[in-house]
Amino acid sequence: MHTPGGPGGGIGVDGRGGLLPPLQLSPEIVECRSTGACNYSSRVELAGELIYMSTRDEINARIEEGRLFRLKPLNEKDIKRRTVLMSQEINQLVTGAWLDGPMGARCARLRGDLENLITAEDITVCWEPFKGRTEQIGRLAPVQDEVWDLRSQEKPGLRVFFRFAEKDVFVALTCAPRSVSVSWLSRLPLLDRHSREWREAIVECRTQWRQLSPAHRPITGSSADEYLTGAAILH
Amino acid sequence: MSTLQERQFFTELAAGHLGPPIPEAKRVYFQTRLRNRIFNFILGRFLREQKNGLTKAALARRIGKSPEVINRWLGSPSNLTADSISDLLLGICAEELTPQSETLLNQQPQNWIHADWIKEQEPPPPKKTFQPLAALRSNRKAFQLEMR
Repeated sequence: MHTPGGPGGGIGVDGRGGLLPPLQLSPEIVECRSTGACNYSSRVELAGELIYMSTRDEINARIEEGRLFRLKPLNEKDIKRRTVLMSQEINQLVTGAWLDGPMGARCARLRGDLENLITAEDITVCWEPFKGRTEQIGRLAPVQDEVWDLRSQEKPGLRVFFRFAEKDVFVALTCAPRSVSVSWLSRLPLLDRHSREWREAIVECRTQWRQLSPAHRPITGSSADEYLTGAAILH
Repeated sequence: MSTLQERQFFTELAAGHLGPPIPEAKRVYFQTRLRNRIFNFILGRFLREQKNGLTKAALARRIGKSPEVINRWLGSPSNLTADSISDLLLGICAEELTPQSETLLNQQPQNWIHADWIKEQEPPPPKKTFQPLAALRSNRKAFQLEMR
């Protein structure tokens, strides 16, 4: 796992996605990056002063602001192996009380699928984009965007787009119907895998991430195990 | 400690045999949960047996299905049926499911939580209710009477 600039390389990313010039990092931060500890720090300019804000600090700040929400399984006995954080959009969909009718039922199903990311021992992963369609989650092309989707396959099929803030920490940002329009979702169906809607959904996921976490990129890795515990690749 | 949302979620379930109908969305949530849990169980068995040399092709041959069907069944929970669950367990590990259930009520939460560095969400502040002028006046009158 690594962040842009690599371990100890003092290059940060500014709020507009541009690179900041190199700077001297404190030994603690250099060590944190080189050891692969997840609590990466980046430079953030606040009121004219440069401060270090870790990914974790940033996530907690967004939670305090009510812009990110932690999904808690409704059954308290469930073992929590991973964490799902949600944008306001996803939170509104999966937080009851659900209305009677197709929307309520579908959102309840979506919640079940999202909770499964937290509790399941193993999760099937489509590691190579386009190679498998039936897995529970998949890495999307282009892989350098670090955008993934959860396939909630019951009809109408839904896709939740997410990124990893750190290993086993999913940040679910947007949701779109897979093949048919859904009246309670504003987005168009994604349809064919090379469609404009797919591309736009990935771009929107990146945009929402930037709004929530301007100073940090999602994690990157060379194998599924670097993103989540219990990744099962069957293809 | 359970949150208000969690307690409310189980209200109808706790109401007993003469309680209100259980809303469709809640039933669907538990349907999804059951399917995911059975899928996780079967997937775990397959991964275990894979380490002992089982392949998808061998499994497909054993239960008379095509490799594509095995891919679909082991790919995601939505493709499972009672019959496919039985076939998979037989073919993977010569096992069958043993029915067992447990109450959803009065659960003891797990103490351990993943990513415990994440702060607890603050509950939304209580909404200030508008108190009409007449009510304020009557409150004041009652206070004056009490003081006398």
